[in-house]
Amino acid sequence: MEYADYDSKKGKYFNPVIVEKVLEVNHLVKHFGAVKAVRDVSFTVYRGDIYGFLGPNGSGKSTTIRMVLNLIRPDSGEVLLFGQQLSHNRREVLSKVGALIERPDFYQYLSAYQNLDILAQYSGIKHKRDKIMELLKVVDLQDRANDKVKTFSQGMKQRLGIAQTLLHDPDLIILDEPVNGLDPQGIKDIREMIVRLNSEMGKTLIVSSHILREMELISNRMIVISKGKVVVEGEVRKLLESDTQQLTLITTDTSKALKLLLEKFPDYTFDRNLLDELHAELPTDVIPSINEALVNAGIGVKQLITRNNLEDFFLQNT
Amino acid sequence: MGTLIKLEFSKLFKREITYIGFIAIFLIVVIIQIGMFIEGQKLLDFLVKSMADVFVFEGSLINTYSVTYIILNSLWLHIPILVAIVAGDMVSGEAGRGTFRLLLTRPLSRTQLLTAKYITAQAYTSMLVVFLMVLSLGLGHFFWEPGDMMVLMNTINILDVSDIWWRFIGAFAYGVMSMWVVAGLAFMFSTMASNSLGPVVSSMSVLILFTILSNFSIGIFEVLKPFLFTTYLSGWQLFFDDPVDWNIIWKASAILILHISVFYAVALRIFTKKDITT
Repeated sequence: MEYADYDSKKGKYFNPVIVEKVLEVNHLVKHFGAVKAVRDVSFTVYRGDIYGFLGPNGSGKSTTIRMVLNLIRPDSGEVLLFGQQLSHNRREVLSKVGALIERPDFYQYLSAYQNLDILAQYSGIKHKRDKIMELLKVVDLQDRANDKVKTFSQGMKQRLGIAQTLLHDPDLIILDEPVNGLDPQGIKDIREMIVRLNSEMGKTLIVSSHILREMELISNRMIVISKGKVVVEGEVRKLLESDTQQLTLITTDTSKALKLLLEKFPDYTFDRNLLDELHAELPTDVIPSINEALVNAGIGVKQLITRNNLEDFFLQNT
Repeated sequence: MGTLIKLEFSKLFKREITYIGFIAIFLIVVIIQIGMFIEGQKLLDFLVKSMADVFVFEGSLINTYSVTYIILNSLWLHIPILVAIVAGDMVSGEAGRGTFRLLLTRPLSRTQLLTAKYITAQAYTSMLVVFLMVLSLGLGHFFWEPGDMMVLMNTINILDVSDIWWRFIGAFAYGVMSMWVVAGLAFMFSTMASNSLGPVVSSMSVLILFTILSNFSIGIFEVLKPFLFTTYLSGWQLFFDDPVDWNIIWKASAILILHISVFYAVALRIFTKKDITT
């Protein structure tokens, strides 16, 4: 569905209208020798999206993103950014796109300010000093503006990487694995920054990651690819709202719990594993009844863990 | 394009490696000049010993110009290495550092970026040769007086002091052009690699191989000789012939320019088609 706005609290899209397609990828294919890196990948990103690009390491995420930006030439397929082919309208299209691809590699012998200054000039930006200082403030690096990048931590480089994507005030920002190598605080900082860029500055973002939890927290739509192929694509909430859940139960008395559950819920299969855990695949709405039945029978529930199928896919592939 | 070239220069001169060439030339020229100042007369006496029975030499043959000529002869082998170190890093260095991912996602074309880098590499090469000229002649004037210059080629040329300056300017201009070929070669290899060492080693290997082929007087290599750029690298010496054979100089210049253009075209072709995977 095409829509104008998304209410993250209600988890609903509203004002359905025809909205601008910021990026349209059609049937991208790329081989590196005998290795099929990307196989027929298609997806669409709309204005206002935080679009999660998910997949295990080596699944073809970075190759796809590099093809989107024309850093790698596809064997076949088409990429339309703002309705135009990058190869034909490079300057115009790239003036609307900011990108941080994999590691934030800067000129180590230059300061944060000098790096942004050079990149601003490559982008043809004039009157750049105020802009650069403003961006360094946005990413909380204003106090390190004149320090050489080689003295920066990974988290600081990632933040500087995000600052450079904003230099020419692009409509679309592409961040490839922006939380790689960061500590929990660094991950939280970047996550908050991404949400801020979207909600406060109105940017459309494509964020790739191999961590489902990260994408689940920030994106409204996502694509999952594995071994170069699209596994699933759509709205995050719908993808995660699976009808069935994988349930893992740890109770104070496993034997008694198993007997009770088999009696009370004869339509479902319960398995006991070597770790004395009970496993079952159940409809989401049955799970509270199971908890209630156990508690009423005086069986203590130590842990009740549910996973949806998307998480299962990820656990198997990452 | 002007902004891009300015940016490339700015990046180039903020790196320490850029100054290695200037420092090396400075040290070599100073050492040779001091050496010639102390022992030069003995060396020259030895060189012209066999001619002493035929010619009568009045005054000293060592002067600003003869020492500069000797320096040029001895340095012409080293400058290609210094040029290749920088030109070979222009593209491969960005690939190795991963900074192409930043540059090529900005609103500029690959052709523009590569052309700016090529011009910068060639400008750096020119600066290196001009630095050599200014330093050699400048220090030469400091240590000695200008005077007539004797050049031993196929014949012995005695060049009048009033007839030398234009020859040096011509020789250095030609020298710049021949070093552009070396820089162009290293630059071309630079578009194929993602580390700086490969292009430097590759271009030096080609230079050595072609130089050997250029100096072999064997039938099959004789056919190749006119097409090898190494055949013309030492053409700057032609400016010290008397009279100067302009036909050979123009022909050699045309072949060198052809090489410079071909190396640029190949580099451009490779770079515009290249997948940026680093």
